Amino acid sequence: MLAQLKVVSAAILAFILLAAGQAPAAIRIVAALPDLGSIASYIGGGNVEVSAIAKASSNPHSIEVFPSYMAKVSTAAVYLKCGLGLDQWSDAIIDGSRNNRIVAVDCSNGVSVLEKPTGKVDASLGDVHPFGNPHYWLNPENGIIIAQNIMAELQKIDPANAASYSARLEQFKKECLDKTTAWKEKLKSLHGAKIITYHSSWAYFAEAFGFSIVAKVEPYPGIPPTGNHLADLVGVIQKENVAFIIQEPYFSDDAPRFLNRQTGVKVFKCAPSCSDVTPSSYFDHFEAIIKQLTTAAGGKQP
Amino acid sequence: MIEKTSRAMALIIASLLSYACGGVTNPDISAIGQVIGKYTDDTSSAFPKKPTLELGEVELMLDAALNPYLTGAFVLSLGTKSIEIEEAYASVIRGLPLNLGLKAGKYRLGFGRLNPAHPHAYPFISTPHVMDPGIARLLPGDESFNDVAVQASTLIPVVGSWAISVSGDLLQGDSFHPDTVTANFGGLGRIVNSFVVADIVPSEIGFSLTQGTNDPRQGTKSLVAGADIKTKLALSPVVNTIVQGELIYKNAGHRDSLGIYSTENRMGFYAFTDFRFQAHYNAGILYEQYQSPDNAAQTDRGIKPFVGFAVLEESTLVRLAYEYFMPQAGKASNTVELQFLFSMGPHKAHLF
Repeated sequence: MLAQLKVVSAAILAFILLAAGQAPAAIRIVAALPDLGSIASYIGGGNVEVSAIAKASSNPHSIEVFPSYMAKVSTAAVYLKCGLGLDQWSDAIIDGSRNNRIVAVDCSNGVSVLEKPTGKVDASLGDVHPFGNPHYWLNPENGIIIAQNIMAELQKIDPANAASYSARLEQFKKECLDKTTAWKEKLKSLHGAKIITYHSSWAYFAEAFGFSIVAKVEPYPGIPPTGNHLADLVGVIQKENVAFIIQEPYFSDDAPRFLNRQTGVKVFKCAPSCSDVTPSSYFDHFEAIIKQLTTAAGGKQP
Repeated sequence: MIEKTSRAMALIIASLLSYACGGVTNPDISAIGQVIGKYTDDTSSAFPKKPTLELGEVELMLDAALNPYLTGAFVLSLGTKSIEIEEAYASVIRGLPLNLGLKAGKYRLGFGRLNPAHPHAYPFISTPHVMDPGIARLLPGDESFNDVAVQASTLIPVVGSWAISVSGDLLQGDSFHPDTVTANFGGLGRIVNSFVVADIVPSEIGFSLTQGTNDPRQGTKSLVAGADIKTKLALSPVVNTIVQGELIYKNAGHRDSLGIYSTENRMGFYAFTDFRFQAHYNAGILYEQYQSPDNAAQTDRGIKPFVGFAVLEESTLVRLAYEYFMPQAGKASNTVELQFLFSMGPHKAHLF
């Protein structure tokens, strides 16, 4: 009997020592957009386990809320919201998850918001965002602000690894600034080019890389183009010597194709979000867009 | 009746506004109106072979967080001659153990997929006959299965994208019988499996079961069971199709004035596909059939193609539907409906 007790005690002790020696569980983070998730993966390193709700091919304005999203969030420690009214669906996911411990981080905190409407804001302006344009992650300098917001939260949750999060933030900043300088250099020949975008997703991208958005395919945010509006755009393209149109993949091809047929203007189909939540995905996305623009535009002068 | 409901509505709005003046915020207010043009050759309708144009039901919804743990909602249905509190409930959304949620009040019960949704959200304009308690008489209730109830629910993450939600409702039970004599509680249970196939095809399979007393004097009961499925296939970033169907089975006991007991066993189903393209357009077709409420040996069938155009999400949309209805006992009928629906208020998340 005593021998059996010793064996059991030894087994329990071995289990406790084994468990103590294992790495602590990763901090589970769910991001509204893969871009926020990618930055979180970079800052959190091996201490975090990140997933995202929206996909690159999804229209981030209207994500349908599935119970599986709520299930995913029910076991997460942090939810990264895009904010500025883009991902109102995030609230339904967070509430539906019934996760009492989750911390929601609004990644737009500290961003200089563009296109903030003034005066009375209502649906006569289309599907306008009352807090301003929410596509801020498309300026890589805002990526640094997002990274700072994520780091601040990770340091609160996991103070033991605060120094490593700070170090990764510095690394992210350096890489982001270096890459931005290189991207601007690549786009030098297109600096100041007049462009048209389908939706207002590209305001921050245009600001970062020196494009001038002269018109949008949508007459108002969220409203499909009318024949008259397209006719006006034909005039704008010819008068302003528009370099290209950027179209999000989740909008119909019809209007951009029509404008291409009428004027010969180039149309680039680019997703506003990166493809996944790996640490390099946020940068790879810019790399891919810039490669597409510089290669296909052939360095056309504005 | 109108005076009473008007007073109740005024009281609700006043209490919400006083709450707002208390320094928190106003509730979200949304209003939905619709104009429906209709032509039918159904001789049992109110205006056979005469085009009609009417203001459909206007819905006013107020909802707000009550505190960090609770939300509340009121849905008032405003007809041209009456005002009705369609829903009034509070929900505990966090703070309870075991991922538990609680809901109490009057609400459209979560039996299947269509019943908990308001008809203005249906792409085919009107409720399919099989789901209309006033027509097929499979579900309890008048126009929908709606009762005063208390619900407990939980969400169970299983593995990957697979989650199971389970809910149980204790019902006041009035929806099962037309006259309130004494409290005859009913019950409703629902289990839903949600999963995403190949990361792009979200699907749900649900089962519902409800029981209540259909005649309090005789003590006879009705049991209704349902199975439902919904799946959404994304064919491209701008094209997707929804396929949805529900099967309902009813078993009810009845006792006539002589005390002779009989049972009613009937079933019915509907299925539709809704093809959505270019973000603003949709087109689909619905088929339904059910055993007639007057004679279970007869089967009534209907087929309904529909199209829609939404200018701006659901705030401004136009729908057109044509129905060919084939009751086994009567003459087939044709109905065309054109709906212009307009809504104002904050955008809500789209739930699957």
